[in-house]
Amino acid sequence: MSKKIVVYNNVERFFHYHLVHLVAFLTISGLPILSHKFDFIAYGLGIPVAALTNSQNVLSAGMSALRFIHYSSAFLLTLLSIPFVFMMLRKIAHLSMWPDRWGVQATIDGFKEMWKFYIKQEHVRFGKMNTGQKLFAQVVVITMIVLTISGYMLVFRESISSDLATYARAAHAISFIILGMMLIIHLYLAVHPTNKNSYEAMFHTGTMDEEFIKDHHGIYYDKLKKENKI
Amino acid sequence: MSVNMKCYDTTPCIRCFACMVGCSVENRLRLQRENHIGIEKSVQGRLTHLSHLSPQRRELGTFPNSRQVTAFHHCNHCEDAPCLEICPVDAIIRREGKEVVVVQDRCIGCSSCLDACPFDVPVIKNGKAYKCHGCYDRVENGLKQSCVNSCPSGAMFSGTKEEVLEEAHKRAELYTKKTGKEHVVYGANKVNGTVGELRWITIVPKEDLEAYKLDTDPKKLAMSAREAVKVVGAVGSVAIVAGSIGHLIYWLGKRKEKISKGEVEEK
Ligand code: HEM
Ligand code: SF4
Ligand code: SF4
Repeated sequence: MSKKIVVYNNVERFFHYHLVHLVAFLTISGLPILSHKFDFIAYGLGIPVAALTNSQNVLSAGMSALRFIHYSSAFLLTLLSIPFVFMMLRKIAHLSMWPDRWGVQATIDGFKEMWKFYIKQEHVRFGKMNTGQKLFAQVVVITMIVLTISGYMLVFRESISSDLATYARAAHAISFIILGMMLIIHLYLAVHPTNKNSYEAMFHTGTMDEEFIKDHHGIYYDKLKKENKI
Repeated sequence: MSVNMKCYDTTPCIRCFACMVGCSVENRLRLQRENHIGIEKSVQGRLTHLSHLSPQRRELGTFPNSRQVTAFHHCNHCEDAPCLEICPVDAIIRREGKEVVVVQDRCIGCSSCLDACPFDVPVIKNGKAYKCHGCYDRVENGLKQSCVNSCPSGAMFSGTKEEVLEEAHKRAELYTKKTGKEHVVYGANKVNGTVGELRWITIVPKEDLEAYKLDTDPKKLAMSAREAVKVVGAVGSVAIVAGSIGHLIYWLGKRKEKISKGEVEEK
């Protein structure tokens, strides 16, 4: 049997696992504020809440409950992020979201490799993450920072000018929409058969077979070898 | 009931501010009528959130060549009210006379209307939004709005849209002829795509539009960007979901082909 290599440590896995439901809560509770098309969420929650609180307004009751969920999930997410952010900052120079090779040509090459892998189903040597995954990680980091800062500005909007609060409101909504579109792709590829090994590693084992890494994540394998980690 | 319109005419206005006092009194009486507070309490305190008409007095130029201008800050009861459209709980409604009214019982104090209103009108107090309600209940019962009722000089008048527009244009024409300065009726026509036409219009010399803070293109760039990105997000998300389904079908087909050719082994 081939050797197991730890690809996601316990902190990363714990963080990701809880990030999944907190972002799900934040999305579900944010959508009806963003657009009337998602009012059904507020109505759905509003029916039991209005019955329990003896309220006449189902929509208002549901939306108030959703706001409570949004605020509390945001707070939990902030708490949860503190150790994770510290861990990431300590190894900031070595994060897998940075490109294996920098430059425009390297990025184009990266997309060509993805085309070969996802469309032509040819064998490709990726790093720990491919170019698309790296870009996704960068967008997630940026949008989450903007969401957090603008979110807290909105929570404390009484202490800032109303113009600033409006900018925060727009920044919050726009970064959510960008993140949301990326998350759909992320979800699809996460459950895609090609991704079975990463999925298992992220949600169950934390490890991958040395053979698999050598085969599918060649650049990552070389790096691990160079750093004497295998 | 047809559209009810209010008009403020800057020319006969003697700056007595009876309209503002009338508004404040009306809203304090409402507190008593609705049993929110007793009579003593309702006359104490400034209750600024219940003064829906606020003067913004400014001096233009330098003395002695100066003059005072009082801009009125109030809800315009926009035709395409952005506050009404954004309110996530439908707490802002349009009455029969097209007055744009906040229903405080439904309001959850999220401040969305404040973000959306390009005139910065709604205020939040104790978790509820407040703004001019156009005295819709008085109007629906055949009375004039409290501000209009208080005005001693005919500078505030109201009625059906047709009546008010006719009178306003007649006055503007007269002032233009008498003073040689072009007078316009701000809000009578569609102001821009954000607010549409206004149901609280103002007769003012054209050159003084800015002095009276009458915005000829009221909008908030950040909120317009938010609206635009929402459309991109909706179209983009549908495209991404369709693309993912397409990819999965294609990918499985291709894989089957490769397996049958023996290029990859089935797992
Ligand atoms: C982490 C800190 C966050 C805080 C403090 C926060 C707070 C807020 C606040 C105060 C609002 C304004 C609406 C209201 O008061 O009810 C809001 C709206 C919203 N939030 Fe968050 N939020 C955070 C993170 C997120 C995340 C991670 C997401 C999505 C994944 C998200 C999605 C949304 C959406 C879609 C809206 C509606 C925006 C609009 O209609 O303009 N938020 N959030
Ligand atoms: S002026 Fe502002 S508060 Fe009044 S109807 Fe227009 S958008 Fe709404
Ligand atoms: S503050 Fe009240 S009226 Fe304004 S948008 Fe929110 S719920 Fe609607």
